[in-house]
Amino acid sequence: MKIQVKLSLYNAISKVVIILVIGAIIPVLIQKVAYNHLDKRLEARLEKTMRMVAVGGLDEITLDQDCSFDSYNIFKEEFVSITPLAILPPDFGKYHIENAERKIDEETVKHRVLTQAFVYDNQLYSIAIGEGLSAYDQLNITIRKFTIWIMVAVVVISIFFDLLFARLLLRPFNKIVNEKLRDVQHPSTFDPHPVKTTTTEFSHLDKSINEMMVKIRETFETERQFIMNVSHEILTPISILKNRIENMISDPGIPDSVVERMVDSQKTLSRLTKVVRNLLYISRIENAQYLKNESADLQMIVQEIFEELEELTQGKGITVINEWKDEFVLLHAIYPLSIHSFSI
Amino acid sequence: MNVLIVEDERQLSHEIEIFLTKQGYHCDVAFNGKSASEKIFVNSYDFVLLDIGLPEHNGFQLLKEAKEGGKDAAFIILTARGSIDDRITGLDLGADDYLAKPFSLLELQARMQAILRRKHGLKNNMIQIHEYSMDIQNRTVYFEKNAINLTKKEFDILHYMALHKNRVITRMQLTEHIWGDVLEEDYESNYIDVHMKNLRKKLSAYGNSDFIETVRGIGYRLNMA
Repeated sequence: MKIQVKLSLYNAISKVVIILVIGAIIPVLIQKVAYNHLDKRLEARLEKTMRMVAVGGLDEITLDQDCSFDSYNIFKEEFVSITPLAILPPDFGKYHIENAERKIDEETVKHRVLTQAFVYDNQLYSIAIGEGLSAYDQLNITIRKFTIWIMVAVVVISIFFDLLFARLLLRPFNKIVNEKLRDVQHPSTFDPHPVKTTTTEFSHLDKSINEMMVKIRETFETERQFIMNVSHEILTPISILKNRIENMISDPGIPDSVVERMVDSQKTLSRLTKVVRNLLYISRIENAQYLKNESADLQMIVQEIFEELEELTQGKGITVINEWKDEFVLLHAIYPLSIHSFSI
Repeated sequence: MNVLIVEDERQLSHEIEIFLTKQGYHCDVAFNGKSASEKIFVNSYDFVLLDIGLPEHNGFQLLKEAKEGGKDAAFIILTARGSIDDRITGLDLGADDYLAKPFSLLELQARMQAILRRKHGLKNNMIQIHEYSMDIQNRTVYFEKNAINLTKKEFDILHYMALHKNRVITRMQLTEHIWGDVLEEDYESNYIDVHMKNLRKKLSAYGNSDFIETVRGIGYRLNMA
């Protein structure tokens, strides 16, 4: 996988994870802040109501015949409720706050309700002050949606810019990889011009590759020269001997017994020539002196070899069946192999 | 036919000279590029056998100068440098053929004759071998008007022997001409014998094939008057 893709994937995944985490935390935080705010308002109202009762008594508040009181605003969002208690609650003197649903005029409304017990005129009462939660819930949902959309937009934009930056940043690196490593089939085709970059590491990498390739090219050239010299130094004396033997063989003045020895020498010389040539072939192949982009139909070559060998095989009563499938053997391997097989 | 042998190895040029002189060529020898250049521009040659690795003068440079100077001699490059680049360079500069050292002198002569036929557009593509006639153009051997079904290798063997008629050709020389260096050393003799046996058999089906003589322990000879 390319480094640019990896960086982009990392950026994208990390930002999505951040969105998910923040998306999970934000509603909780908003709710906590909202409830805290509500609770303080409820506490202030309790304090104000209890002060009214302390100053003006419960007469300030109109009680029903059963000595209870319920007051709602017109949207049923806020209420104060006072009801007589028969038993002293264990947490008397303390208030507690909870969410509760109240049925008001056939309508169920969710409230944040503060409840506290108090004594007035030797009578135990419970006061409940509530405030509706629907507005806060609505606000919570709106803020959550808004926040998520903003974050998604920020993430998308930042991923886009990350990609753009990574691409710009890695452009020299990609150029080094493509032009100086991947596309270079042979040191002779290497372009040693430095790649333009302001990144120190890339510049260093480019310089190192250039130096290395120049050294390899010099080594290849030295080896090529060496092979040429070896070819000349070894093959020229062989050539002299070969031609001399040929001339002697064709000389009618030389007795047949000597000519036969000459023919044997010719064979030995041919063997030496083949050894030298094979060594040179190997060196040249290693030195990449042969054309690389040559295509050949090996199946057809094998078929041709078998056709040429047909006479030999027929003479020995051998039937050759060509079941060639894999194309990975070279001519120089196939031909001698075939000859070896038929000569047993 | 005038031949200039450009070769700095004196012993090698001497062997080539001996062989070609026997074949009826008039040979001139140059041991370095400067001398070769002078001879090429002063004399008229049918063939220049040119070694690439010459002292004082690069063989390719000499070839280029000769071609630019309008010399119409046929150039055959003889070199121990067997690289493909060298071959391409030589042929691009106008060389007519390329022989890698060590080469057979018979092969050299065969190439020279092929160049002659090509250069001078010889119309007569027929070689008469006793009762048989060989059509080089269509690669067919006829007995009277009957075409004999020879394989490619059999035709090449007969053609090579006809080119070097009345001369003993060793199995090694035949092998190198027909298969180059593809065949392994230990098996070529047997292989040539099988082809020769088949060739004789096919020719005998029509007429006499005794003109192909086996020279014991050496090779074969095509005898012609």
